Amino acid sequence: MMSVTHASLAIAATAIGISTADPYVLATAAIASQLPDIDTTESSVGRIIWPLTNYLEQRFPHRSLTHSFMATGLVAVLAAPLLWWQWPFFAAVVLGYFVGWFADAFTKSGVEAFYPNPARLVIPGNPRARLDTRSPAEYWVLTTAVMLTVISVNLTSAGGLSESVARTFFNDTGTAADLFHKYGAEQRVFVTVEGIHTHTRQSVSGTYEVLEASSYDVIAQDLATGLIYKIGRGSDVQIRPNQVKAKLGGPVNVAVQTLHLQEIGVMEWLMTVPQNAYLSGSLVIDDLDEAPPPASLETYPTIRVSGGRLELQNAHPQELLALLREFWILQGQVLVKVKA
Amino acid sequence: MESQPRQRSPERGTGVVLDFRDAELGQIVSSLAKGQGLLVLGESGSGKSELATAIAKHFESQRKVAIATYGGSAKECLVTIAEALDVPTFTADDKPKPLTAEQLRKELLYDLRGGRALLIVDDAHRFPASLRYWLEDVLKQGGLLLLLADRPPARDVFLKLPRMELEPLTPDQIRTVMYQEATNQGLAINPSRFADLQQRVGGNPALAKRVIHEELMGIGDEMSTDHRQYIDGTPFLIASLSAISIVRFIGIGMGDKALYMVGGIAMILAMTLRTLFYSLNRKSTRLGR
Repeated sequence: MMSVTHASLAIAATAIGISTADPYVLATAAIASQLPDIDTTESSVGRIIWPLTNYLEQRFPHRSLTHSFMATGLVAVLAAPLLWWQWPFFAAVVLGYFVGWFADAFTKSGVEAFYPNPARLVIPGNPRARLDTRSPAEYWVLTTAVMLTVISVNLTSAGGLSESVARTFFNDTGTAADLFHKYGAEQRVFVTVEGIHTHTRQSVSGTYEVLEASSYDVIAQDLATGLIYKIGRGSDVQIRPNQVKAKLGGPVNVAVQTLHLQEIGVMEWLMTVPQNAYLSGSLVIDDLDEAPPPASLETYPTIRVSGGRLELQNAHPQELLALLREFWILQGQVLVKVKA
Repeated sequence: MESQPRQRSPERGTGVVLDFRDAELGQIVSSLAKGQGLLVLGESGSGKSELATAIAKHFESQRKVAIATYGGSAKECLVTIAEALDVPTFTADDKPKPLTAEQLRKELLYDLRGGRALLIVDDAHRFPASLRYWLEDVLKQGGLLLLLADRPPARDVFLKLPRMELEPLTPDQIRTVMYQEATNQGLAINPSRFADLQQRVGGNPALAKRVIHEELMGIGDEMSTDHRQYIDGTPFLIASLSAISIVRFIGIGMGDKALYMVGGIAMILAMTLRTLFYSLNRKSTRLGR
């Protein structure tokens, strides 16, 4: 088998086996896959470590001692210190070495996998079905390995195989909620929604950024209008989706501050709050009965009156200001979230 | 455990192989000397015939020895044995006629009983049932037999003798045989090529010589796979692939639909590969394409 085939198989196995896309780890696997061939001076690695290669070549058939489980064990022991540094490199060395010789079991001559037992491991048993070096079949293997690597690296960058399957096949808010729970702290999460508005019976189509998620529903902000909706299957949602495509956006850093308010004017307080903040919490307002009802009935109720208090959930400062500019806060507790 | 090859009949290049079989030769000789017959098993080319000749030579001076091979005619085989044991092959009356196979069998049985002569049967696996049954009779009469065979059927006379297997030669020994053969042929090969050629040899000295001849003729490029030291790894591969289906059940158990799907797809892939490998694995026993 050509050394490039060994390298590409080792890279594919490592990329898939330990779900990594780290080029240094993959390069380590590629180098490790060349090591079994130190038993022949025909290989480049054999020419580099010539004295050892020469010693092996004088005594052993090609693909014997170095192409065995025993040698793999030895390599694992020698590479063990890497475990204390970064384990993916250890895995890459062992996996790369193993794949490097195991692939030769698919060739005509096989490998002495169970050395010191001289029997040669071959797959499949029929020699005609095994590979010849530089045969068309080997180029097929090479191509497949490269393809698998590309797919694997792409999938890994997008969160791994099973997550990609979920995002491709399960187009509901549950998947988006899972994604938000997993990555929401570091990355923005967007959903592209096709569905129907539950109150107005209008069709809905748009992209929203997820602000909060329960197990199956998300609270998300329309990127175009800035309005906030609850999307999902619950009884209190505004948008019931037919299809939800979730995807990860750029990195985000959410700064949170808890404020204890006491005897302060709404306007006076909001002057101190950043304009892009999201406010959640509850406020006791003087003369709450005189407050006008919230502006929109079609969106998620970010401002609600409940039990004589004003309940906020991801409310915008402008929204609050428009509604309660002249009012007085007796007391309250508010969480201020700011995206950076 | 490297044994220094002694030069013995260098023109045939066989001495070396016999040297490597020293231990086995000693075992066979001591067993036969005690009057205990043996069945020696070894793949084609492992040096059985050379052993047979060496043993015949060893016992020549002590008792009558016959080496029998079956070349297609049972009678011819019996005649050869009779001639080697000085048993008359013609009737003793006025008009001598060749003995029939039936008569030869009886005469030989009489001569061989009680271990008075040693009968070495080379390539005993080729022997037809009629001769095998006769050999069984010889054994019953206390005849001393040494059978050498390559994977004989597990029945009749083959089951009744203690058996020993000729171990494959070690890589070192094989390299010596190859090196000597190359020297005899005046062929200069570098160690890298030796290591490459040796993959096709296993522990079989006859193959060791054959690959050198193929190299000499420049026809050794194709990887022949004639030795028997192979382990088919297909079942292991299929088994480990099938183990991926565990993921599917983990997916079900944890209520993870995506994992369930991935595991299910992996399982089907493993099953597809299994079908593929099984059909690929039907090995042809014929030579050539």
